[in-house]
Amino acid sequence: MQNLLFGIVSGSMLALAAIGFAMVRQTEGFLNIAHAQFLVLGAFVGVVFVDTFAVNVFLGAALTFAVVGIFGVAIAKLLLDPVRKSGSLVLLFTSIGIAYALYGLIMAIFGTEGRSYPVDFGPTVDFGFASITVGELLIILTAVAAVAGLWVFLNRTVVGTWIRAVASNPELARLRGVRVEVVSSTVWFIATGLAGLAGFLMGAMGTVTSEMGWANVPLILAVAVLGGIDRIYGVMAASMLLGVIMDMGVLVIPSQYVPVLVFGALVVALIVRPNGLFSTSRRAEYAV
Amino acid sequence: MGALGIYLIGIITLIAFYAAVTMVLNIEAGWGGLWDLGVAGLMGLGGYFYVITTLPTDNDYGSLAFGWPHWAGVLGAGLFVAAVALLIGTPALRLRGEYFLITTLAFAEVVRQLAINSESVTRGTVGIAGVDRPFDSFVTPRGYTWVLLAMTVLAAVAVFFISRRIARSPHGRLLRAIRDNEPLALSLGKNVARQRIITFAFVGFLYGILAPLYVWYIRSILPAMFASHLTFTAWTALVIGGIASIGGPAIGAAVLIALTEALQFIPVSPEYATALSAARWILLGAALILVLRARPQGLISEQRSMRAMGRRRDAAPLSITPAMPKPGDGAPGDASGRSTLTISEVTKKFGGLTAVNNVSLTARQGQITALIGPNGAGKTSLFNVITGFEAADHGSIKLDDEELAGLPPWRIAQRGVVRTFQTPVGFPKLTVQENLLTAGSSAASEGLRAGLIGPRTWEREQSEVAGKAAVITAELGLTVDQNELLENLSSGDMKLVEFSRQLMAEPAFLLLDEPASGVNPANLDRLVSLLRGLVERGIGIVVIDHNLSFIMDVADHVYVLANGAVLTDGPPHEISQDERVIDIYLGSRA
Repeated sequence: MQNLLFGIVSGSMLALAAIGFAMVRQTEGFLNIAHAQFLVLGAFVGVVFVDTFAVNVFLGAALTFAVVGIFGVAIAKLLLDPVRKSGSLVLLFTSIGIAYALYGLIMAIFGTEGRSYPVDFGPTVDFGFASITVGELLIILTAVAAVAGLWVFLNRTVVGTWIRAVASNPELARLRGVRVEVVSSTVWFIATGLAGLAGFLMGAMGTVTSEMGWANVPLILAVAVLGGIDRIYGVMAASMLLGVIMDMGVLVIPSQYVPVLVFGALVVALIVRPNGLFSTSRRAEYAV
Repeated sequence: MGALGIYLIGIITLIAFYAAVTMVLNIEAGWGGLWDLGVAGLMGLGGYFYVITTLPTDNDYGSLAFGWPHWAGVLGAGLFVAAVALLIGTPALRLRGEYFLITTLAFAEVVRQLAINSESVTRGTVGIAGVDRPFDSFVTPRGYTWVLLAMTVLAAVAVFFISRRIARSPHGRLLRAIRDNEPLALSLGKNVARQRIITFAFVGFLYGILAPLYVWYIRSILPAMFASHLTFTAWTALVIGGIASIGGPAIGAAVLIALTEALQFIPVSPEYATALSAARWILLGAALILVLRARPQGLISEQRSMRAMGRRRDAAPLSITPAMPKPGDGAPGDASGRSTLTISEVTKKFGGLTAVNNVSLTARQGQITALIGPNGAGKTSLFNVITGFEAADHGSIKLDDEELAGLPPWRIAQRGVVRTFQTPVGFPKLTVQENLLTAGSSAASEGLRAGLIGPRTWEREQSEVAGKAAVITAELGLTVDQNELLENLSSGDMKLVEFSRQLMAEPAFLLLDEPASGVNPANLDRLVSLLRGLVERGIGIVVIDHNLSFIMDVADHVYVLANGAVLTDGPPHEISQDERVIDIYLGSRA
């Protein structure tokens, strides 16, 4: 039971990291490999706020979201927009270039030594069958709040509706007067901001290192694909599932074999359900 | 020779190694269209296979060992990786683009984790050090850098000639065709799935035999050597050099490795080692971003590479053997020698929607059979079912007495039922001539074996096919430069290439999906006479179109579809008078 709870905590953080990746894939049409580096950036920016400047944890998280989000928008405008017309393969590899450069920059600025947050996770809440610290509970609540906020934003605001329109049919959305550049900037802000927030939480839970981005690339890709790369709620469900499987898996098999199990399962799942675990509809591939 | 000299030789060796890996990646990714992020995984398997099989049985570690000779270990590594590629490729190659990319990435991660954790075999993260190398006992350690350089350069040169030979062969052309337009390749009778698996197993073999070079270079094997870094370096080199070109991958590898290794020359005290490593990553990232912005195609573009190849072919033109194509070689036909395509009670449902509802119709060679009906009537769905792109839920599709239902699309095309698609994009990155040759070539001359053995296996057939192409294009009045890429053609010329190409496949029946759409009304008469000319030659045509007057001009028999079912059928002049037909077209739905 304890492991189930840990699984939900890791799943929540993974979900925050992966939702932004899926949003960019959906509205911008390419796999943004640099996404995981925004995670690292968030973790370090958070350390600077909370540790160096002794900012309150909640304010620090909000500031991290904003700073990383704005940085993400700037990167998208400066580096990705100019190659947009060259197609998704060039965008994908430009994002790999951005990932390399960000990784180097982070290493140059923050060094390779691990850092940790001076945070106190507070008292442990005991439910009888399992226990959890207040801090971990807050992480789950943050993830839930972020997702709920995203839902409200996507479904109840004009820009949110535009985003959904662009995601389902970019050509039609453009024709119907959706302001594509506003959608693009908003998506980048939210997506990279969420990645920064996820990095903040992961950093608070463990140690911050410059390597944590690359380590998360396969996981983010895995849940994005398992969830169905164009379905935000599928991605969330897949994140939770993966988090729980990883933390419950250690009960059944030696912990070092858990990644083998996870990625083996991913390969099998993809082959059995090529459009993701939660896909319901099937598109006719050869029409038109 | 000083330390600098040794270091320089080391860099050239590394460049040659990455050039070889990148050229192999180019075969599968650039030409084959397989977005493989599992390169490190495949090479890791080869590396470990080699080390474990060649490790002396009386080794100090007491680990698993077989004591094979080096050549057997290298060859075995190639075959082993090819076998694994076959195993994971058979199901995974059903996945397209990004999904294949992620599956292979996950596969590589599984390999790396297994290498880390199977300590009794791989000795975990520490790895197996001091691996015995071929010719090790003949030369000093210093002299060995030259031996390794020679072996690696030799391997790179060999891979270069293999990849250039493939690029120039019908096999390379087929790979690029499948990459550009898989449904079209299927509709021309190409066994796409088989081709993909062969490609994946072949590059697996090459990765396998290249892996030992890397082991010799590092002098040991450990999981960190086969982290995703290896894959991303090869991909970066490929993208910078020019994906799908011939010389680009090697140039990209040279530029990339030289750039990142040059920084090691800067003498710095150890405390700045991190800064240097950071600078390397920033430089690598900046190079990738800038090259892609300035030259999205890479330093050498596919177009330039393939054009150069086309010119070389012009210098020694394929001797053209004019020959008139016979319609439908495979089809037996009835007493008059004419075949019949019979569709009986075909039904196709998508979820709750019945796209095709109990449709029966007959088409004969020497006739034009038309299918009309409003949008969503099920016309294209019916085409998809007839040509095997969608499986029918119920019903039979017969060419004379042979059942076609249940056959894969490429087999149906080989039986002589060839379709077109609504958007005639063709194979955009192939030249006009390549488009036509692809359609007319046999599986034997387009095979990997023919590609590797060389021109003598395919030159003769290609000349004959080129002759046929010349006759067909002359007849259809296609006058464009045969070495122009298809994507640079006007839409009118593209349409003519479309017809020429599908005719090159020698169809018994040609299924045309909206041939008149996008055609200038002034040219419709030409289209009508073109189609009439084809049926006079004995081909059977089934045509879908929205343009009623065009259909009434061209068709011998018309079927009207509405809501997935046949509403009525008859000769054009009857159909044009039928009130129900007028109703559905002029809209009395209210």
